[in-house]
Amino acid sequence: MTGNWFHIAKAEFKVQTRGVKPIRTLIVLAAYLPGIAWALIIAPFVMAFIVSEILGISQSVAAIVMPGMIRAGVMFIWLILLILPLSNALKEVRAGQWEILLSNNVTTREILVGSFAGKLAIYGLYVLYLAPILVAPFAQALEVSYLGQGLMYITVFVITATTIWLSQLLVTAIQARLGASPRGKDLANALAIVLGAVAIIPFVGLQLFAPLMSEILGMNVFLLFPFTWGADMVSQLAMIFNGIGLSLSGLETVLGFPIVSNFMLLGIFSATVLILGLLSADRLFTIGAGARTESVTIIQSENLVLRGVRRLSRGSFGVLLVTGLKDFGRKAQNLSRLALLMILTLVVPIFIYIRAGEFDLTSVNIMMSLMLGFLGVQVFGGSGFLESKDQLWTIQSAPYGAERYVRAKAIQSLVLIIPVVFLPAILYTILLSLELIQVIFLVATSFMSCAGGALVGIGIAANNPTYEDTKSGAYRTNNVRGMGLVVVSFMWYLIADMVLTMLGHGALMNIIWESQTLSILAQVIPLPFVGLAAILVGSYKLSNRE
Amino acid sequence: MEVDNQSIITKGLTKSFGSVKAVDGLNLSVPVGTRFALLGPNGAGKTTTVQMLSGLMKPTRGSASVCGYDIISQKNAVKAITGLLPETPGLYSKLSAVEFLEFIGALNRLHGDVLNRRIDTLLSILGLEGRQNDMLESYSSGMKQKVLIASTLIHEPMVVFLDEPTSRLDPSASVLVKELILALAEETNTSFFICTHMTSFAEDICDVIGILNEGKLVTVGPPDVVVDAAGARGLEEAYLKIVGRKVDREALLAWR
Repeated sequence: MTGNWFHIAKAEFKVQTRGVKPIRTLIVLAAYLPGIAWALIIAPFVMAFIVSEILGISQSVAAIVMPGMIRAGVMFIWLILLILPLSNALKEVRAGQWEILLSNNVTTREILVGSFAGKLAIYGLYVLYLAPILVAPFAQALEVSYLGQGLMYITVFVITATTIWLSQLLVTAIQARLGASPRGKDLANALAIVLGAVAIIPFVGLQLFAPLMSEILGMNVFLLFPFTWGADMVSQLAMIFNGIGLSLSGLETVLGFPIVSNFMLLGIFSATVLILGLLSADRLFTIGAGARTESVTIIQSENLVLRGVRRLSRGSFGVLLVTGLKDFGRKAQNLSRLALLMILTLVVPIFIYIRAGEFDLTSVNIMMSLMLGFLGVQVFGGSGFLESKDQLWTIQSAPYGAERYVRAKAIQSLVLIIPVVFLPAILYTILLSLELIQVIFLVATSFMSCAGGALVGIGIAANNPTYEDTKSGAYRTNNVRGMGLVVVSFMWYLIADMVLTMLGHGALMNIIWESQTLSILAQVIPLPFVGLAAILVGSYKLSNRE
Repeated sequence: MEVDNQSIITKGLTKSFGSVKAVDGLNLSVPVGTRFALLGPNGAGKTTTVQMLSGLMKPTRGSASVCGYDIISQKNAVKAITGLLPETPGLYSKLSAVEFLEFIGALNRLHGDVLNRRIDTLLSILGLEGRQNDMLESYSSGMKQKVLIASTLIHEPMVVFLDEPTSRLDPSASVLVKELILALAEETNTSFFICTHMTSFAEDICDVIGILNEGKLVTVGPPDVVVDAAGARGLEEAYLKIVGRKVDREALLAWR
C-alpha cells in the first residue's frame, strides 16, 4: 500500500472539519485538552452530583446497576456508530469521486483505510466528550483511580474504532458491489432507509419494553455480541480499580466471562475485523468501473391499478397521474419508505396492545395518526418530489405545468396511501379481534392523518424543492417545517380550549372531550386542512418565476 | 399572433442577480421562421435570456414578447406556444422514453391517439424506436438528449428554445438534428432560438447570429455579415475577435 491512503484520510479529515476550516488541525488538537479535563475531572464531578445529590443513588446501588447500564450504553454506541454512518454513506454513492481516485491509481484498500483514518480524529473527540456521560457516574461512585478511568476510556475507544472500521468496511463493500449506476444509487438509498429503521427499532423497543430489555441484556445470549465484551470489560475495570473495597469475583459471576476472556475476545474480534478488511479489499470486493447493477430494464405492459387510474381519469391529467405513479413505484428507495410506513402502522398498535394489555382505541388512534402524519411528510415530501432543477424547468415550461404537477403528486400520494392503511387494518382485525366499526374508524383516521402529512410534505417540498439532496439545508428545513406543522395540527385543540375558556365558552370543548369519537376527530381532522393549505401555497410558489 | 411577423421582440431586457447583470439591456427582433443562434462564452447570459423568453424567469427590467404574448403578463400563453430544451437533461430516470414523452405531452394537455402518434413518429425520426421501452437510466447521454429534443417538439411549438442541443450528440445525430431544425423551420414556419458554443453548428443552420458577451448583445446579423464585419475568415475567428479571447501559447504552458 502506497501513501495514497494518507491523502484520502487528509481529504476525509478536511470534510469532517469543514466547519472550522481555517485552523482545523489546531482546533481539533486543542479540543483534546479540555476533552481530557472533562473526562477525568469535570464529568465525574458533575455526574456524581447528579447521581448522588439529584437522583439520590448510593454507591452500592450504582455498583449493582452499572453492568446493565454500561451494556445498554455501549450497545447504543455500537448501533449508532455501525448503522447510522452506513446509512448516511449509502445515501451518497460517491461515483464521481471514485473515478477521480481510480484514475490516480488508488486501490480499494487505500480508499477503505484512508476513509477510516480520516474519521478517527473526530470520532475520538466524540468518545472523549460523550463516553464520560456513561462512564463517569460509575467511576465517581466507585471511586475508580485515574489509571482505571484511563483504561475504561481506552476500552470505549477500541470499541468505537473497531465499530467505525467495520462500518467503513461494510460501506465500501456494499458500494463496490452496487457500483456507480443510477440503479445502484437507488438501491443504496433503499438500503440506507432500511438500515436507518434497523437502528431506530431497538430504541423504540427500549422505550416500550424497558424492563423486558434490561432482562434480555442481562441474559447470557448477549455474551455472543462484541459490544457486550467491551461493555463488560469497562465494568470489570471499574471494579478492579475501585476505591471502596468491592471485589471483582462477584461481578464476574453476574457477567458471565472473566476480564481476561473479555479482553481476549474483544482483541480477537478487533484484530479479525481489521485483518478481514485489509485482506478482502481488492480481493473480495473492488471499487472500479464495471456493469454490476447497470442493467437495461424493459418496460412491460401496465398493471391493473394503472389501467384503472387511466380509465377513471381519461384526459391528460390521468396520463400525468399514471406516469407519476410509475416513476414513484419504480424507485427502490420509495418502496422501502412505503414498506417502512406499512410496518410501523402495523407494529406500533400491537406494541401498545402488548404493553397495555388492552386495546385502547383513543391512544392507538392518536399515536398511529401522529406517526402516520410524520411518515406522510417523510415519504411523499422528502427527497422524491423532484429529481433536479432541470426537471423543474421542464415542468415549468408547460402552461400551468407546476400547478398540475403538484396536483398530480397530491393525488398520487392518496392512491398510494390506500394499501398502506388498509393492509395493516386487515391484520388488526384478525390479531386484535376488532369490531368492524372500530376498524372503519381506525382506517378513516389513519388515512386522514397520512394523507394530511403527505399533502403537508408535498406542499413544503413544492415551496422549497430539495431535489435528491438529503444533505442539503433545504431538506433539513423542510423536514423540521413538516414535522412542526403536523405537531401543531394535532395540538390545535389545546389552543382552542384555552381561547374558548378565556372567552367563557369552555363548555363547548367539554362536549368534545366527553365523546371518544369527537375527541379523536378533533385532533385528527385539522391536518388534512393544513395539508391542503400547504399544497396551495407550494403550488403557487413553484409556479412563480425566479 | 405575431407582431409585424416577428416571433420574438425584446426591449431593454435586463436580468440582475444581486450586483451581477446576467443580461444587460437586450434589444432583439427575431422574425417568424428564423433560425437564430445566440453565441457567447460561458456565463455570457445565454441561458438566462432563454429562461426569460420562455416564461421561466422574470426580467429585472425591460420587456419582451414571444409571438405577440408578453412574457411577464402572459407567461402561460408563452409556454403554450414554446418548447424548451434545457442545457442539462432533467429526465425521469425510472420512466421509459415513451412514458417520459407521454408525461411531457400530458403537461401540455395532450393525450390519447394524437399524443401516441406523435411519440411514435418522433422516436422513429430520432432513431430510438428499438429502445423506446427501456428505462431512461440505461440511456447514453446522447440518447437522453434525443429524447429531450423529442419532448421539446411534442406539442408542436411555434418557437423552440434549444440550449446547447448538440453538445452530447455524435456527428450523425448532430446532422439529424440539424436537418430536423431546417425542415421544421422551412415547412412549418417554426422559429428556433438556439444557444450554442459551437460556431460551426450555428454557421451551418442559422440565418441570424447574435453574440452575447458579459450580458450585452455585441453583434447581430446573418453569419456572413458578422464574419465580414469582424474581418475574419470564418465564424469561429470572428467570434474570438468579437469576444476578445486570444490564445497565448506561452501562458498555457506556464504551469509546468
